Order: sequence, then C-alpha cells, then structure tokens
Amino acid sequence: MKQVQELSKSFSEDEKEILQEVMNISFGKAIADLAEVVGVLIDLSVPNVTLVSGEDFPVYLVNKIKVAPPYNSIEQNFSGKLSGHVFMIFPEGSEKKLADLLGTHDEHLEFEDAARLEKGALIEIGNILTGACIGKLVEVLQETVSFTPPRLEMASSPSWQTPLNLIKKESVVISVKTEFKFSKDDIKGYFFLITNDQSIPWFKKALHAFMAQF
Amino acid sequence: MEVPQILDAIDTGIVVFDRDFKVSYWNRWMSTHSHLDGEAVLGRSLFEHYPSLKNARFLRNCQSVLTFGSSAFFPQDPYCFLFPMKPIGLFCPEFEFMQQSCTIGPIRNEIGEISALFITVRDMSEVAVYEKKLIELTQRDPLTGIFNRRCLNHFIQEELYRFKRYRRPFSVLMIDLDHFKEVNDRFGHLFGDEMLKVVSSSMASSMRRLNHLARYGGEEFCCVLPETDSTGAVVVAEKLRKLIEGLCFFSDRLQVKVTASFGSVTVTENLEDADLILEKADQALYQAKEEGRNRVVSAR
Amino acid sequence: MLKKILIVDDSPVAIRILKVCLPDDLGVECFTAKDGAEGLQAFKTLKPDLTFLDLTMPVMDGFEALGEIMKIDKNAIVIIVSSDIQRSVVGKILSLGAFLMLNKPPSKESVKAAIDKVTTKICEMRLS
Repeated sequence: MKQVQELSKSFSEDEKEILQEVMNISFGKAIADLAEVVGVLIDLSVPNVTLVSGEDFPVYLVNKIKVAPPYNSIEQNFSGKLSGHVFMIFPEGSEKKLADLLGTHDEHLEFEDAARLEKGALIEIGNILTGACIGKLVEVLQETVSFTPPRLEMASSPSWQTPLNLIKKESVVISVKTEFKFSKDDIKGYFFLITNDQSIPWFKKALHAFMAQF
Repeated sequence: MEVPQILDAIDTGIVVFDRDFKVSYWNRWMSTHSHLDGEAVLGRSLFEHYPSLKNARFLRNCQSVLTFGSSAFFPQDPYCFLFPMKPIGLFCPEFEFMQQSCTIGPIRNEIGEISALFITVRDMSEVAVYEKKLIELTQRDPLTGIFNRRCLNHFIQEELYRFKRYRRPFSVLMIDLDHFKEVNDRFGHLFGDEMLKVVSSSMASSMRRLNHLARYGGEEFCCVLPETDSTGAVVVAEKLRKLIEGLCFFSDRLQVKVTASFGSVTVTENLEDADLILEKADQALYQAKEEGRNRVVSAR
Repeated sequence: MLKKILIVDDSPVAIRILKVCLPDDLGVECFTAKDGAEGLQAFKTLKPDLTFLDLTMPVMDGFEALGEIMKIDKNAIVIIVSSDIQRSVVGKILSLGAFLMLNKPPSKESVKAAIDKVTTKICEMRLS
C-alpha cells in the first residue's frame, strides 16, 4: 500500500483530473469509430480511473465488477513510450453471443468448429476494442504504440487460471475501467488498462503537454 | 542494403498493401510458399490471388487497424490460416493447408498518416500438430478412442445452450452392454476390452458426424444427438441396438454375441439441466434392463 | 452581444479547456455547473445567452438537460460539447433543439467558429 500512497501523491489532483478527461476524450472518440468498424453500436461507459496496487488489484476487481471466475479474459501487451497491458473480461457465455453478433456463428456447426468460432469472436472483439481504446488514447497524447498478440483464457477451459497472476504484486496500476455494452444484444464486458510504472513519468509529462496545447 | 536481404531471408512471410488492398511488397518467403513470384502479385489486388480473404472478418480487422493504428491478430488457434498454402515437410499429411499465425499492422507515411498495412505470416503447422495430439489426449477415451466423459458434459452444455437460444430439440442415449461382467469373467479382460473397442467403433462409424458418442464408464456409453426429437432418437437407438446384436466375436473359435440396453431422453422445457437429463436417461436404461434387456426405452 | 455563458460539464479539466479556447476579446461573464441538474438550475436563474453542454454527466445527462432547457426557453442556444458524437445520436441531439455540436477536445478555432455562428443567430433573432 505504501507505494500506492506515494504514487497517489506523485499524481496531483490536477493531474488526476487531466487523466480522467484525457480518458473521457479518448474513449469517446473510440466509441464513435467503433460503431463504424464493427457495424454495431458499442456503448462504453465513462471510464473510471483509479490507482491500485498490483497486490490489491484482484480484490478490487472482484468488488468492482462482480463477475465470478471463471470468466473469459483477453490480455494484451502494448509498448512504446506508454507501455503496459490491457485486460478484458467477458462473463462466461458471452463468447456465444459475440459469435452470433459477428455473424460467424452457425447453429449447425460441430463442437470443435463452434468452439473455434467463439474463440475467434473473442479475439476479434479484443483486437478491435484494444485498438480503439489504446489507439485513441495514444493519438490524443500524440504517440504511437505497438501490440503483442492477445492471450485468451476461455472460461470453458478445463485448466482455467486467473490471468491476474500476470500483474506484479509490487507494481502500481493506473486502472481504467470501462464497461461496454453491445446495444443489440445483452453482452457486457469490462476493459482495464494497466500501465507499467516505468511509463508513468512519460505519462505525466504527456498529460501536461496535452493541457499546454490550449 | 541489409534490411531487404534480411526481409528475404527470415522465416516469416511479409506482405504490404495499400488502402485499396493493392500489393506493394511480397517477400521471398511469400513467393516460395504461395508459388507466386513478385511479378504476379505486385501492383495487383490481394484478393486477385486470395479471394477467400475478401470476407467480413478480414475486412473488419483491416478497417480497425486503419482507423485506430493498432494491430490485429489472427492466431493459428482458432483461425488456422489466412493464406491457403500447401503445408511443407513432415506435417504435410496432418493438414490440408499450412497452419499460420498472422498479424496485421499499420504503416505510416512521413506525416504520420496510415497509408498502408502489412501482414506477417508464420508457419505454425508443427505446433498445431502437437496441440492437436494433446487435445486428443484430453478429450478421448484411451481404450476406445471415442470421446471421454468430461467431453460429454461439454456436449450436453452446448446443446442446452442451443436449446435455450434457438429451441432446437436434442436427445441423449444412455447405452449399456448386457451381461458384460460375465463376458469379462468368462473370456478375460483383454477379450472384454477388444469387445468394447469393436462395439464403440462400429457405433461411431454408423452415425452421422454431428452425433457425439462418448464412453461414460465401464461398459456404459452415452450418445448426444443434436437436432433429434424423441422419435428420431428411438430410430437411432434401434439402429444401434440391431448393429450391436449383429456383431460376432470369437474366443478360441467360440462365437460370442453381445446385446445392449438403451435409455433415451429428449430435452423439454422443464428439463433444462445436464445432470437431470443424464439421470432421466439412466432411469430409462434401468427400465430397459428390468424389462429384459436388449431393448430401447424412452424416458417420459 | 453575448453577455452570459454557461458551461455544464462534470470534468473541471474540460471546463478549463473550454474557457481557454474562448476568444480573448469576448468579454463575457462565464458560469459553470458540474452536472445536468445543476446546469438546469443555473440556466433558470442566470438565463445565459449561450450554454455549452456535455453529454455524459452524472445526476442528469446532457440529453435530458437539453430537453428541459428547451422546454423552458425554445429559443435557448445550446452547444453540445462531446467526444462521442456518433452518427446515430446526431439526429437525436438536433431534434432536441441543440444549436450546434462541438467535438472534444475543442480548439480555439472551433470555438471561435461556433461563437461566430451564435452571434449571427442572435442578430437574426433580434431583427425578426
């Protein structure tokens, strides 16, 4: 907890407010473009920005999102001046609805093929949401980042394990939570952006640079 | 000078194309595996040689990369491949097409606008073969080669989902070989095992691929029949019953026959639970045994 | 011509940015409110010449606030300032009676252009 306090202190109230507004703008831009790309209206809730320690993050997640494990999760790294990972959660069962939504689900498919399509749907939505949210964020901050392939953990996997183990206990995460809904269907999911501590100094500088342009 | 040489030497396919999908770069790996050299591809639409790429998913992912400047990934699991190419080397017989992991990414011009996209292609056939074998190990019953019990639960859950969403009927058969313990006691376990193998492979090969046959335990089998109502289920069960009845086994020139009893259950509105479905099928099977074996009983 | 401006946004930073983007020589009195409900109250008491309204806000969102403001004064001039203006909501915003829409983050140029349109509109309304 000590580090978090230090970090909270190192982010002034002013910086936190700028961070929140930058997220609002980026995610807002993402929504507008997402509808064009996917062809379906996707609603992202106003992003909620919180500072949490890696150690407390799992508890924070359980309390905040109330999705019981096992859930489908997609985890993806991005690197550049801003680096970290994104982490998406889709409750169990949503993979089938997503496959239907993307028009890739055929009810006469065999078991292996249906599972394949569901995986495919999760990966595709992951690609697109990550691209939209992180892409717009770095665009607002006038940077670019690159991405590593997504790691998918299906809720139905017999060897399911929590992807939270990937987050180092001692690290401090700027957690940006947004809830997205697909208007046509009752599909919900959560998106978290977790920044690496090494990129926090750059992040702060970029926030000030953002304000300085006005 | 060095970079083009490296791009031609690496074990990865690289393609560059513009917003109209016109190809501007095709490295040597791509030429080798596509059997198309640069001349045939450059300046032409990507879809000219690969029309299968002109699908909603590929276009959506490209659009996403163009709009957000992000990357889109097509891992071998689940996508198998983007570019249909002949597999090479040891893994030729395993797959019809080379298994690939592909990435689409943005290329920016001097003023930072995204002007083109690149795709990288990696051959994943070797990994995919091992993975396929591993999956088989976890899904199959080692003796008979048909699905195991864990898989069966998954099949039933899948069908329940379809039933809830699309109201498609499905049925489950519980199958038990009659007097199998006596066969084992009299002719030995090796003989019994051989009988289980023959019975399961005969049943499996007599059914449409959509049906899922699993070993439930011992001499008990379970079969999930998608898109099948109660009448249809009885038809399938009767066919299997006759098939098993007609099988002949020999132990030291002695002919051994076997029969099986069947319990059949069909999903209904007030039967939407996997355990309950299996329980009902089991009850019907028990009744078939009670009524004298070698018969089919439908659960009410 | 413009005397009173009201800015309604739950983000203090968004308000700060918008204020900075207002033309320097505008010489107006600027009031702010941090959600739709507070904004509506402020509108009633202040009767501003121009209202900037965010869409996503707690308590009362921009859509509802816009509707209420237009009920109070059908000639009210409201500019929606938002980052997520999707095609599908543009129609809704216009039918509710918004005068203009402005993308977030605003710039000095986009705000000046909007203010110019507002002053022209006010001139027209006075003449008629």
